[in-house]
Amino acid sequence: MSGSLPPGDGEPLVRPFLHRGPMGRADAMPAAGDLRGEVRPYLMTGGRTSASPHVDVAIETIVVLSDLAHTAAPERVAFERARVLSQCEYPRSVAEVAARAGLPLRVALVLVGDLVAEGLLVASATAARQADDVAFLERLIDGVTAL
Amino acid sequence: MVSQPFDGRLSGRVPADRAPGYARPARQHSERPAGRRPPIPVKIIIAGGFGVGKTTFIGSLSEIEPLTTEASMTSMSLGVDQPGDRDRKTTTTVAMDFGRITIDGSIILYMFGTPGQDRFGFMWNDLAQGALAGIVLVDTSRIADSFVALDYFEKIGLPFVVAVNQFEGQRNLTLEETRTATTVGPAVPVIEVDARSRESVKQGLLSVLNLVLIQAKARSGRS
Repeated sequence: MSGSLPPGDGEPLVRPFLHRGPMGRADAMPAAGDLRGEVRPYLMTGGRTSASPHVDVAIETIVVLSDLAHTAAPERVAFERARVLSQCEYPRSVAEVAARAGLPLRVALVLVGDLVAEGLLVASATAARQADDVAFLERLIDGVTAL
Repeated sequence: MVSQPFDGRLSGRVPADRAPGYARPARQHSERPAGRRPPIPVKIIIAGGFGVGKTTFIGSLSEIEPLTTEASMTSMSLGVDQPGDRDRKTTTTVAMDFGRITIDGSIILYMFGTPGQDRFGFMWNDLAQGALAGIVLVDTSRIADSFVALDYFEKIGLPFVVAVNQFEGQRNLTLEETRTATTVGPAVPVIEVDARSRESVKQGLLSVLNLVLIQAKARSGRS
């Protein structure tokens, strides 16, 4: 056991950089008042900052509950994921879901992406080249004119 | 039961409408909208300096009270956004406000307001990605506040209009002077809007949509 101590140093070699701080020192931590959110937001996403691969979800992507979500057992979803689903009975953008569920936008992006990948949410088609689609633009302009 | 499978488990845990000012949509649809492919979103970016009227502009045409997302709280604003900063305006746009306009059953238009301060510029890529067009709101007494937005839209090639927000009684520059001061290209419309007026905001939106249409027709060769 004495071999775990380097000669001439009283500190064990476990996580040798821990004592150098700043993260290991309590006085280097931000004051509690600086922490705006009550929990670390990415706790809700398991620390991930992007959603499941192969799912293209943007802040304006519109999602709605899938048929699967209407029949799936509720125990499949819990906590923030359920909060997201509860906002998706009617088609809403990810930004709306985030605002209404009280979730940071990037957290909502991850959670919605996961739920789309699992088939519990259906996402709007990504309008690839709206700016080149004359018929689409004319329909849009007619719609705004009629407002 | 089938239409509300989550209600029993969720309603006690989550207030249904916790966003302030949000009216729960009336359940006018007899058929369940869920499960079908949702409408296509159209994204318009409303940019401009702090306090120039972006949220007012959005709210004038939105069918919902403008909502706010707190995109910034997870990263850069933490420890930077001092409470003193917020004294300048009662409802500070620390993140972004947005509104929604249902065009028809298959198109919903979203107007996203850019965060008011430069230091939230890191969010702009998220905002601009996939955007159809932009509107740069200008206060002619603080015209330099719009330069960040103008630079960014020009850099990414997003079609936009310059919209001078008419504050009451204030008319420091003519539209032509505003064009000169902003040094936008001749193809960029410079218009006047009243952010408080639904009709005026609608015309501003149509102005930029027509610009996009003209450009699309030019590219497709049928101008």
